[in-house]
Amino acid sequence: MASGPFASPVSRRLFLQASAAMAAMSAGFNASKASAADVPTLNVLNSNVAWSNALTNQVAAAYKPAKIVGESNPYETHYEKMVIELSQGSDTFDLVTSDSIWMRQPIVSGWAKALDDIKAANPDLPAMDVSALAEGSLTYTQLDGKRYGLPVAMTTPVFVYRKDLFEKAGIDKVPTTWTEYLAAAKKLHKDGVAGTVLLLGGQDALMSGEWGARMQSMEKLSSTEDGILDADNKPIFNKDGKGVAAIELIKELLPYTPKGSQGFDYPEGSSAMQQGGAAMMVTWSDVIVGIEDGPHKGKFGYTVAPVVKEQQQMIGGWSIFINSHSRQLPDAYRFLQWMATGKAYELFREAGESSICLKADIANPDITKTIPMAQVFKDFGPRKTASIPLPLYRIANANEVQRIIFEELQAGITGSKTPAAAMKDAEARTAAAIK
Amino acid sequence: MAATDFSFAENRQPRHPARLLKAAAAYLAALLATAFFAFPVYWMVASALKSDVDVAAYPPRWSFEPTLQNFHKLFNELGAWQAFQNSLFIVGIATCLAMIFGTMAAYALARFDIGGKNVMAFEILSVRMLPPIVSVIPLFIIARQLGLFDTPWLLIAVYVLNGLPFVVWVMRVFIQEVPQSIEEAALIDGCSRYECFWRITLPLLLPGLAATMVIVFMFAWNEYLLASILTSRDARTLPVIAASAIQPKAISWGLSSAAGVIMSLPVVVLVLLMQRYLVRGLTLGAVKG
Repeated sequence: MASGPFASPVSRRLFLQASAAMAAMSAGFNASKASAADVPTLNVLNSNVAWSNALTNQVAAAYKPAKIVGESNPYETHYEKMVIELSQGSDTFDLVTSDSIWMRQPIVSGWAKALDDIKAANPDLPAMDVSALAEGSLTYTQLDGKRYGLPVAMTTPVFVYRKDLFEKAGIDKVPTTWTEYLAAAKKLHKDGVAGTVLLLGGQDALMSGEWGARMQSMEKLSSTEDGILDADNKPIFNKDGKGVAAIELIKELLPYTPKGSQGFDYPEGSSAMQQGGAAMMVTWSDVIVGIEDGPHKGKFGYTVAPVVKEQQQMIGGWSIFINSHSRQLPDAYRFLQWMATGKAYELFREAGESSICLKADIANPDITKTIPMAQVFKDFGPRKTASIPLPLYRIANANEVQRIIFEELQAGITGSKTPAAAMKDAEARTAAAIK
Repeated sequence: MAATDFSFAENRQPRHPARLLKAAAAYLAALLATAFFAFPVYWMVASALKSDVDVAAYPPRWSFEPTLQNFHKLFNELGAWQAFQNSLFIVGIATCLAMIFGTMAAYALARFDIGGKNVMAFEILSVRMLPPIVSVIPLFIIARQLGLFDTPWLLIAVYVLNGLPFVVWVMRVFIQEVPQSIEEAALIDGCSRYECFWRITLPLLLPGLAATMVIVFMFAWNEYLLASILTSRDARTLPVIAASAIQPKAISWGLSSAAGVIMSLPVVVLVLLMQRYLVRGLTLGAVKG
């Protein structure tokens, strides 16, 4: 009889060959994991933006007491992975990076270890000195007098505009209010270039950026108030019709936006500006890294975002904290202590990150030569801009509540509900969802 | 020869202008349809080969100097090579195992008189009815308990489980198409049941096996959700790296296009290799006499 796996001796040989091949592949796979373990390895749950690439490359190379490794994640997956890993008590990651709007969840859930507690348990560890970092950037990693981590990037809404198009349209004064912004959009909207970009398709982009930036500047807020929820976490975002008024301001700009604006999230908006499809945009400072790499390099101006009434702007960004289930708490602490001295932040900046949080960088008069976008932080002084926190930063399920408000905002803007009905529904749904 | 040529010319139908026009319109429609479906592929490949400035240019640049900078970044900074190897290893083994076990199960369901086999077949299919997101956290917990988190074996097991129902259901139909009398003849001639399956039925199933294998491979090759949650650094697969290349807070169309090209290549190669069987496999049973 001819060959066949079930009928001849060849089948046994074939089986042994296949087993050997499998074993070899397995050994090869495991061999790639083996490495000299002279120093501890700290694994970071990382993002995929400019500073995060620097964290596992330039910063890792500069820090010698431990090997810093990490996996990069897209924005949404980053949050999902953080929640799944930490809620299950996983020790896969020693350090976790987090959008500042998510920070309260790991802190109140006990997933983030307080740096003060690690220091108290290990008195030999050096003290954590965060004096080199900007005040506003430190807000999200502290609670009840304890520090739970460090900022890695400090962001704020930035008004990006095309200086050449402003000049061509005869606009001498850069808008500082949303009313002036609307007038400029009307003037600039011609010759295939949209007056402005609106980011209406992204949860964070619309809720925090477009709507939040307008709504939060309608009344004076303190450095701990976000204008969305009061101290008892009751919704106040439509008090005196603020929320509705912010929706109306967005709707007024709709005719002066590029086609498809209603689906735009951060990348689409930044690309429209980069490619010359729009003249103005307000977005987060970490979102438009790379805008100067396009064909309109050098033509962009940057300043503080317009306001309705009060000169105040959100300060957000990214933070890093230690997983409370990490088996290397002291090593992770030492790394953060080294970061706080400033070297890591210099490396972030050199790697292209523009959302700087080192005081020395912000104060450097020449910083705008290398980071033109840093002008926004420089303009805080002359404009007497006060910093306020991100919306929803005090609740543990900020992401869920942000989603609710985003859905209602879209309904109010696209016309499937009236702005008033959308805000009413948002208030009811938010009140029920807040934890 | 001359007579043959003459008769051919004589028998040839004169082309009617309306018929010519109809043929031209059909070709034009086919060309337009091809261009419509091929354009996104062209756009992806062209964007992958463009520099940051060229990819951002508006109106788009049709003529540009190609560069491999995006591929360089993908392999050197994002670790795409390791992920590519992982993907080949994991998906390759998972596809083979799903095909072996699935085809044997399908054979049993198609040929043997097993009590409640329709219920069994439905139960197998029900695995596919579960949305993957539902199984993520249980799988994560099981993986951590068994020490399989971030290993290729976990993803192999998951992809085999995902692929099995599809293989069982599709191959069962293909096996039912093979006349049972051929197998009975082989059994009378002295073949054992295994020999009969191996020598008689399996060669007749090659087109079906090829078509099913390509689809199972594609499902596993492109799977993202489970791969992103159940791996960390060591067992990451290509879709996870490709998703990371799409930076939500930056502009990286060239990089994400390069990732798309790398993702597509093995599937294209596999389809080309299997083309001969695929066409037969996909149309087998389409028309019943």
